[in-house]
Amino acid sequence: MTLLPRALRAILGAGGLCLWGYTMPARAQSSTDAAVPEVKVEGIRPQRSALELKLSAERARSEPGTHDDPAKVIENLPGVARSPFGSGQLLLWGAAAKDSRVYVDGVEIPQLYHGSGVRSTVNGTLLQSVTLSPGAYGADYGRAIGGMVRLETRELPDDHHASVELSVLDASALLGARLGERVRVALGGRYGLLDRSLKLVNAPDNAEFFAVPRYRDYQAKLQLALRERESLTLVLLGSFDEAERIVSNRDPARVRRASETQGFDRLYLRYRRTYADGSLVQVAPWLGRDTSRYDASFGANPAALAQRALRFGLRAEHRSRVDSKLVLSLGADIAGASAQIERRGSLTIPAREGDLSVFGQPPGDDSNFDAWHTLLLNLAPYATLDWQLGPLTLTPGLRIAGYLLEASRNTPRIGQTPSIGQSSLHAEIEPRLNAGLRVSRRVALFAAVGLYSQPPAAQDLSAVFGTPTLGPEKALHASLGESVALAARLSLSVTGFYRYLSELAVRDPSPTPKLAGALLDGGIGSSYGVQFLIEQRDWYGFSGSLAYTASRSERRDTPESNARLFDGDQSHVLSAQGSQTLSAWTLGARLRFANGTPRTAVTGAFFDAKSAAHQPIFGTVNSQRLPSFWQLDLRLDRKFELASRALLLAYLELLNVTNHENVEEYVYSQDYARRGAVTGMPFVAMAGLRLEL
Amino acid sequence: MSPRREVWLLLGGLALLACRPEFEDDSWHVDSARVLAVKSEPAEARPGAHHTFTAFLSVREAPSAVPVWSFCSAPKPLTENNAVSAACLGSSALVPLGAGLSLEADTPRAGCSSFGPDSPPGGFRPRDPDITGGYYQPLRLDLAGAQPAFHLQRIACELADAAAGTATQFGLSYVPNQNPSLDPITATVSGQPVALTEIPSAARVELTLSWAESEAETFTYYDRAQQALTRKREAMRVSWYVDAGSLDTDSTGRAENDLELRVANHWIAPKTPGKYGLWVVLRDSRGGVDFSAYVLEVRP
Repeated sequence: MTLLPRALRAILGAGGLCLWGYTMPARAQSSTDAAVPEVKVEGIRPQRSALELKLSAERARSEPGTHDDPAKVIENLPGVARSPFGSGQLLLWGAAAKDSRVYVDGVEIPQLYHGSGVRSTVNGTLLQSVTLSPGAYGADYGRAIGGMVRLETRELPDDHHASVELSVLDASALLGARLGERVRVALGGRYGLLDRSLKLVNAPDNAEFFAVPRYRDYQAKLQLALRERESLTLVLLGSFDEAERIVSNRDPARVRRASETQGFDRLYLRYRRTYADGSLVQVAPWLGRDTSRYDASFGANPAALAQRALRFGLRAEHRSRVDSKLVLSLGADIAGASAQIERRGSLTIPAREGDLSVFGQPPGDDSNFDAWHTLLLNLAPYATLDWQLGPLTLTPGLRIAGYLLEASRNTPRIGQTPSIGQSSLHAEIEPRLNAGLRVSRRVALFAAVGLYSQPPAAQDLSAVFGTPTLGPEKALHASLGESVALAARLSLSVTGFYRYLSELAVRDPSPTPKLAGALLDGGIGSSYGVQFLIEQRDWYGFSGSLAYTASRSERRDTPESNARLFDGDQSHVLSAQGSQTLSAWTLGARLRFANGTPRTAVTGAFFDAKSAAHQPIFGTVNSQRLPSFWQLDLRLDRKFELASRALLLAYLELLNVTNHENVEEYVYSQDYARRGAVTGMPFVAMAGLRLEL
Repeated sequence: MSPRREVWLLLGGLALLACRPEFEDDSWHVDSARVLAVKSEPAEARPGAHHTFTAFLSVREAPSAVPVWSFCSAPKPLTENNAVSAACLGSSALVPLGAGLSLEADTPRAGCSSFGPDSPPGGFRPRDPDITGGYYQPLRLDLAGAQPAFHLQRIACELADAAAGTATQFGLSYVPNQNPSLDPITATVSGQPVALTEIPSAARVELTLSWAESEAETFTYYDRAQQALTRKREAMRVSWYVDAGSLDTDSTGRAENDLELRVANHWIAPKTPGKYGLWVVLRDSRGGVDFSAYVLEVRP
């Protein structure tokens, strides 16, 4: 079942998206496309921000550098900074990775990529689309002061189907079947092979810098057709990652061990019914579990953080037409997390944004322990109007985000004294407005503004390592842009953006912080910039895009302190990719450029006679940058029609074909007198096969 | 530095690996006078106690300059990862004590409130101890021509974040740290003992240092996870420095659960005959120190 009429679905299937009666390019939804005839539809368009970039999964996975993984296409989009090598972080419009969210069918999952960033956590064959909203999104989503990525799973085909994929990274399979008239099911799984592949080629041990990831994920989907235009979908999916590294030394005080595991499971049910006039009702309760464990030792100094969280939520929405020009959506977005957390070691690990340290520096000698429980509940009713006034479309929305924040202790544990918990209620009124003006058939303007909030991280609510009384972090997003259809299937969009962050949780900079007050909620940040996207679609077999973002992201740790660059700031990010199809062959290339992220200069060192180690003396925070990154990738794929319904795709990706040595980190000699660079991925050839039946 | 590049090209292959720089590990090499360690007697005492501090310098004869000593009064903020506050690197937080190879001074009486668990009235956060339960008063040494050095003087403070009974029991059972004591060094070449004054040129010499079993003390420790007292044994480390030839490593040691009482290192003697310096420092994990300097005489 689907919301959209058949005629419109046909257009979507051809790679377009219908937006309020005219067809937009699939990628830049806000840009017009004069070459495609206007289509009038009777349904109600899905409410989306004009800033969303939505790609079909099939198209996304064919782009160079994605390794046949649709979600990897995010790297090619504007507004997305390059994540550090091997991290898979989602850095959108200058926001920290922890401030952005990932959704599958509207259900939040904790990570888009497996720990290393090489693969997404959801099998690409199950996906219908990938949508990027770097900011200023509508009232139906929240709990994030950054941006979001949404993955939509596809409608299961009417008949039996299978997809098997094998690459040097992993092996995966997805099998689907029809059970009777109304039921369709699909089961899939993936198992990472990277550690085995590395052993096969006797790769060198670089455990000091990067851990080789081991990962697996699974998906199951059951689709039940009820009445006409009514469906029930049950999805179970999960992911698990682990990595371990050991750096040996003859001095036990210098032996380093670290093991990390993280995983999640989600089970959700989605009821969906559309009516003849396009009205929609959908309800999706969900339940899940997140686990993560970091266990390290630096000599005898331990550093451990373990979290187990029960996650639950409900998303419900009713969308109906008030009159011919007005559509009203009413919904509720509820999410909760009950977490058990245990942490041991120094306050300085895990590091926080803005901390003064150098890569590889051991944590401080200080050590403590805490075990605590949190309950973070967010109940957010929302309402949105879609109002069409001739060429102007206005989408005002209001989200009222109520937070219940509970921590099991408001002071550190002493002996067997019973704990006194901390509980607080917060209500955030979050108005949002999205506007689009169609100036001509080729030109459209759009703007968006809104208030956003997110709950504090559960791990920050420790009475020993954090502050149990932290409240929500807040943001203001604003954007203004224009999209132009330059020619048939050639579009340009330009978007300026601004984001102001407040009440961020930051370390208390005073030498003597308050009890149970290691963190303050006084951090301030801002990011602003402009992004460009030029896209050519299907021009004599050529498709390509050029995305460029110029931005600046700053933070102030207290309202009184001077602004400094955000740790992940990248002022220039460019990604250009193109593919040419020649019958069954497709040849593609991708060039990425990003200037380096900020680092704090080491201006000297002193000798710590207790640990017999030198320690760095720092200059101004984030006053220098790593060298710029650039990388050229090539992709060649070939499709083989094996039978009427059997398709084999073979692809070869040559990553970093120029073998450019990209500096990923600075490292220092023991006395900090010499500086060296850890360089990233060298020239790598990566091959894979995908068989679809 | 000699950067090593690993370039991989393999069909289906990969190397999702970074290339790392390899610094020539010669941190055992000393070519000028610098502070290698500071020994305090007593090794641990309450703030305000009288101490004798002795600096161990990498010099074979009388030094041309002596360290200038200062206590640092600035506690480290939570935003810093180093052993001492960045304020200790300036002058505003320093309390000058004088100059000399050794110094007698009383530690500041406010040590347990500035650097320990005794938070001031008003509900402030006590400082976290190290993994041996210790708190430390920073003592800065400035030696002309060398990087600043910091000795962290262990101070005995009350157990502030435990139940009253546990704190009382801790006070009764905890024995302040004693400095360890090094046995004389021994040397062998190809398994045969050799005198330090009779080392063949270019020989690979195994140097062995040992200590008595009692030097690795056991001590009472408050386990914050279990909220209970337990016993720990000190880990021991030896730092090695030479002014010629080369050592396998600058640091060896034994973990707290390792009952071995000796460590070995290898020195490749220079080809040129002469007298060379060897400095060794034994540290226990509670901040206790012993050190020795030797002259290694290389024969043709």
